[in-house]
Amino acid sequence: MKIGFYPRLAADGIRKNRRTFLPFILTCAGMVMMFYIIMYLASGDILSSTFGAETMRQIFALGSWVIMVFSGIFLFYTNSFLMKRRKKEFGLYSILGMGKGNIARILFWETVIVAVFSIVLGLIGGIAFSKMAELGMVRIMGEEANYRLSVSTLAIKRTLEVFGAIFLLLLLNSVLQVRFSSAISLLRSESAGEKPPKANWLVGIMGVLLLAAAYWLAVTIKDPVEALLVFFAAVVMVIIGTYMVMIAGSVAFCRLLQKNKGYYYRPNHFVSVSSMAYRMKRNGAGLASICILATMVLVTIASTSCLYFGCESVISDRYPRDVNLLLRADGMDALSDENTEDIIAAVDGYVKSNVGAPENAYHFRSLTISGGLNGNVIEPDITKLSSAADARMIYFIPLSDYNAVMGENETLAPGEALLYVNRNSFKADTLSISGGAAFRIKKRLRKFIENGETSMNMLTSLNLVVPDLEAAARGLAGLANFNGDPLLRRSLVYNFDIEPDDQEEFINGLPAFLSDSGIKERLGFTSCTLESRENERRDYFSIFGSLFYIGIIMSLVFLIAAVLIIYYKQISEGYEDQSRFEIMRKVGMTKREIRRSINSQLLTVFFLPLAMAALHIVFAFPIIRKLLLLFNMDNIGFFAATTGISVLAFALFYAAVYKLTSNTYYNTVSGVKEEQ
Amino acid sequence: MSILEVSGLRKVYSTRLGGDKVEALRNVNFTVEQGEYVAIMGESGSGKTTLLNILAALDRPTGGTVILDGKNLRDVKESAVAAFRRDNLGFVFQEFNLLDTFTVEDNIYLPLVLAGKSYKEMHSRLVPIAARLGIEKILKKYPYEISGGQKQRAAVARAMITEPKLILADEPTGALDSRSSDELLRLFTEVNSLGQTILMVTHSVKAASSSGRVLFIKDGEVFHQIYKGASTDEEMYQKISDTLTLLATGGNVK
Ligand SMILES: Nc1ncnc2c1ncn2[C@@H]1O[C@H](COP(=O)(O)OP(=O)(O)OP(=O)(O)O)[C@@H](O)[C@H]1O
Ligand SMILES: [Mg+2]
Repeated sequence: MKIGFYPRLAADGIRKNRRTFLPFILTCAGMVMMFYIIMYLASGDILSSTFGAETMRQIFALGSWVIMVFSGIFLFYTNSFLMKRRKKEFGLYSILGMGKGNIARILFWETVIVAVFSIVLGLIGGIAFSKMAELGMVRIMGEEANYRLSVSTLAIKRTLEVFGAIFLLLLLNSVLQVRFSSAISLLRSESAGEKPPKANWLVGIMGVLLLAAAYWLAVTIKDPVEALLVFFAAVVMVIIGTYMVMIAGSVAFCRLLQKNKGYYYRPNHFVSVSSMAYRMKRNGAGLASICILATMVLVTIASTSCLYFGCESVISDRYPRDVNLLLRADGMDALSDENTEDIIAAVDGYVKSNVGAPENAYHFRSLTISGGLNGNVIEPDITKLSSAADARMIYFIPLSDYNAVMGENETLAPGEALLYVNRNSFKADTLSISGGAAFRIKKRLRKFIENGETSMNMLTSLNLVVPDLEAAARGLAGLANFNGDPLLRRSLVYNFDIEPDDQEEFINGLPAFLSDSGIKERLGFTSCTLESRENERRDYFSIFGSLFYIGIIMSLVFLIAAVLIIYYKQISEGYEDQSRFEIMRKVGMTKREIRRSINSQLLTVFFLPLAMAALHIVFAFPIIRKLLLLFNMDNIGFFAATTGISVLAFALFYAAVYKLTSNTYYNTVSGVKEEQ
Repeated sequence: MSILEVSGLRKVYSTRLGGDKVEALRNVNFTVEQGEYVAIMGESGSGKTTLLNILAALDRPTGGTVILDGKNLRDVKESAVAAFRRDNLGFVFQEFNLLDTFTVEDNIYLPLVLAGKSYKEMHSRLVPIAARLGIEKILKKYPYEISGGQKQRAAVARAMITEPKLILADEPTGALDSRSSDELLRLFTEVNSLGQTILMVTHSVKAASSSGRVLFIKDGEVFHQIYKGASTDEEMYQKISDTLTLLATGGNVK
């Protein structure tokens, strides 16, 4: 019997205080669930076969760190609220002759019970949710997907480790709090309001600096590959910064409101402002948590829906026509006008003999080199680059092809060029190739020949329209990369639509026809690649579809966490305020006034997290745009649209949740009265 | 002029599980004149708190009438009760009932804020009251930072600031030590001498002897009353003790 004394005391304590423990356990379970699901997605093979899977896995792995930091901070705050309520009981215990050691043992068992309950609950929820998610995924993908239904032991292990550590820290914190306070201060602690942090302004300034630094990182990042790492550094900075700013801000805000006597001493502000001030730190932490989750939801859903719904535009950028043919050559002979005409005629003949004639056809020849941009000089040896962001692809296209395809009538003198840059910008008036030619830029182009290769490539491409391709080639032929291999590639692109466009088997036979018939070699081409838009479309939709699906799951998880937090906030504050509103009723406050003051309180806290989340999104926009380039998504207007829609939809959802939970709060607050 | 007339007041509590009924008040009749200071005494469970709750319109009687300053409480609409209470009554409770979210000053302002008064007016009302109650120094503190006696004085200030027709106090000295109690009673006497009507429920003979009249409640009825008249506090103390002894031994008072 004796062995179970402390566990039983702890269990009793939890049962007696279940109104505060239950929301806490639910919140913990929600965090565990969220963490498990992310770990599961990061470690499982749900993504194994898809393109971009490695990137996604990296995102999830880093995301799990974000969730960890977030859970740690948030649970610390909710626990401190719990402790505040429990301290009174501990004060009583210690007056009744219980030592601090005994109380620590009760605390230990309490933490164990809460931890076991919430981790088990969270894992069950996480496993069920992830299985459901997988099932949905398999259904969407059809049989082709080979996603196994599995429980990730690694994810479970990591979850246990992380939350074990968090609960240990919580316990340590609680024990220290009890250890360093007297019985009397324990007894009184519940009625004492929160003290503002000692150096509030310092916290606030540091928070603002962190946010500013994170924003700066996000806005100045150039290279998509670097963007991923910077992105997560920025996310962690934003989380911590948001907490600091919100806590310091809500303290300062409450003070300011209380100082403004004309505002403060109004019937519907008086009560709400004072109770906000009373729990200003917790309020700030709660708002920060909601804000962060809101931001996560928005970022996830905006970017994945942009990918999914923008899929068609990605595909048409990447594959401008139904059939996209790329021929490479070793020498310039192949790219002569005659040879070009001959090979196109051969292709047309092949197509015509089986399907209708090619439609919307266009072709262009090009020379391509890569290198690093240093001022206005291209350095072929990319090992000399200071940053990966300076790497460029340079395309040379003959004026005749440009004029033909675009229907223009441009003219160029030798040494002159027209320039089209697909991303970033190039400001200088001349562009020279180190060890090669230099070009004076006559004009900058706004529109250019559709080129699948440049839209696929993450590197920015500089497209130079030159008067004479042959002359340009002479200046480039000697260039070599750091291995000493020749840098220059010569190609002919021939793109066209066909009608009907479901003649895949026939079209796929085109490269074989060109080499089997000997035409390819005879005209001087070395290789031929063919990409059919129909073929690729299916792949793209399955990839972006699964990304979108995962995005929805992630957003749901974040939403659940946000709802839990809002619910927790309302419930816990409701119980706290019960006796307060009872007193106010005795002093002469009507039900209507109570309702109104509650609404005013909710309204004040309603817009803050949303506004801050919107601000985060604005600054996250450039960096996410860079990340989307990793998936060939380069349509900024479309991304802006999905972001806007996501923000709107979220605001509506948020309003609904707040409305519902505020009723919970009202019922909790007024519950006692109705009974009398 | 009577400020409060109570006649034939009856209150029956039916317990939650149906069945049992408790008749807390049977037939209570009394009147309180403008400017009086009345104490109500009685054994535990005799219905004092019940009576006070009905007077405060916190609870509705089963039968009988309460007329406050010419207005029958029954005619006050449910929606107007809170405002009525706020405008006409002041409360002092045994457990102070200060809100720990407010400073002492804001606690005192609460009823006025609810009534929509401006800060300037509230402040000008507070200054003389705070001076009389000796709480100027603690106005900016929070309730958990001050002593029980100080809390009760703050509660008195809150009750007085609306300039109510009647102050109702339920065992206001119950949670105070004797020095704080004396102080509070002295305050009550002083406030009363300025014309404030006070109705106080108390178990303390000493508290009761500071009042001008003591009502004794037994078995849900007003059983007896003593006027102080020209007697000193000590003489009053003696009279009350004698009556309580009689009450306890079940004897009759002529
Ligand atoms: N809400 C209630 N429901 C049922 N019975 C009640 C209720 N409130 C009080 N009673 C009963 O009514 C009677 C009078 O109670 P009341 O609280 O008025 O006594 P009191 O004179 O204030 O006692 P004390 O001096 O101990 O405070 C008691 O028998 C009590 O049990
Ligand atoms: Mg009582």
